[in-house]
Amino acid sequence: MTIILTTRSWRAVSVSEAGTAHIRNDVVCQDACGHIAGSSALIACVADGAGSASHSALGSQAAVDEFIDKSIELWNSEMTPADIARQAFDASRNAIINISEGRPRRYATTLLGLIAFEYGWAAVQIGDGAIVVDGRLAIESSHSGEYVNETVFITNLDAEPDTACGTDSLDRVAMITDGLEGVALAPDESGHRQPYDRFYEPLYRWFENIELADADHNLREFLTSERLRSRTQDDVTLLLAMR
Amino acid sequence: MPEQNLTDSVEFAENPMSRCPVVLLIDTSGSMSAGNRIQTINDAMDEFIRNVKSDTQTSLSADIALVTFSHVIQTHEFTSADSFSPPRMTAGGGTKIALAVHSALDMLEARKAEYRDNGVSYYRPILMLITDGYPEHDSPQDIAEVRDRIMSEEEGRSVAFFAFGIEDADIDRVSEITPPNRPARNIGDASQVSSIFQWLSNSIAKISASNPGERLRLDPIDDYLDY
Repeated sequence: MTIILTTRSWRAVSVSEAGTAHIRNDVVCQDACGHIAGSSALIACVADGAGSASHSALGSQAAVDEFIDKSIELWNSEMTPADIARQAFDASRNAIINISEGRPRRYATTLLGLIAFEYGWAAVQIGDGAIVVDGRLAIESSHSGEYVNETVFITNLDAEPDTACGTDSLDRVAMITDGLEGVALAPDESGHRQPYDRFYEPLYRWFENIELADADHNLREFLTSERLRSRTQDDVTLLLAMR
Repeated sequence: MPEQNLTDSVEFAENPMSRCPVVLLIDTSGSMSAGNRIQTINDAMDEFIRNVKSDTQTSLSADIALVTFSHVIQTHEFTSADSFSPPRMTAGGGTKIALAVHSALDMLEARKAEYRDNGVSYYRPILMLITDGYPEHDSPQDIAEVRDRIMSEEEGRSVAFFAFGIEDADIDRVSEITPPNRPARNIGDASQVSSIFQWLSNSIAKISASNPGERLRLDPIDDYLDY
């Protein structure tokens, strides 16, 4: 008997844009993002550098790069997605410590990462922002701090990240940093924030039909549009992946 | 294939404004009827509300409660600046601070639970005390108990407690219930109360306008006081 496995390839796009508050104050974009979209696997990562940390743009980029590199390195190992995600998180944390010359807090950043295979997925998150898998939050109640203007960073060395995993085979993934929370999440009846479907559905419909070569540019236009800028002055990051 | 205009087709969620909860804790014991102390505070509070209402973002963000204390405690529940209209305060009776502070902290806890139940995000609450006396009717045990509660709330960053003494307040005794990094301050004449309320309205404005992820520093109170 011949078993034929058909896998649908992942397609992904990820973009970060500086917020108007940052542009006004001559500060670079402190958000970072990256992804690897393969025929049977997806690695997705976004990070938001702390506004008040002088080197946080470097911190967020280093965290994303290391998360992806480590995930690729552990790909063909026998490890579960959850173990890979956790190791990749730890590698990101160590990467920042290594570049920080003893002052990691200057590189403070959040970190949100997701690994998805055919047979399962795992998510890891420290700080605010959201990971959306098939229309729901991967991590239901992330501990990003009690107050709206405060969050936990990867450089808080005694802070543990939140994690989640599943054996379902995902079709749609989205990730945002907190700049988009106000427009892309809304509270449900019990006050818990959930993904706002009418934000994501048009985006998935658009992404399904767009040429990958044009996706980046179109998404940037959207993220820097007057309409969005009137709702948020923060750095914004959006990652979309589907298959 | 027609290109979908992302900018127009993506819908934005509406989310409630982040709230800045403030509890005013005002001494209305007998000594406050001396001179024009209580009237000065009433006027300063009116001006404070006018200032908060004068800026839209601040007005929508501020969430204000009032606790007055002599030997009885009167609480006025959290309301927005637009709806804030407590009766003018009158003074009389002894001073029991401990129970008043507990009431204020209980109100804050309940309010935070309401926020969470309704998906409302909020900033670190401010508790502001103005007194001209000392906790004469509080037992040492009451004081110790309320001090412990304040310490643990401050340590857990649940609240930011600012205590001010006017006129001949026994500031050392009031400092018994304030955190070591922010002891009670004697600001002298009752007329300085309006400066303190200015600092407060400006602080709320600053908090509600702050950018996410930015470390927030309030103005130093000294910038507002006359010397």
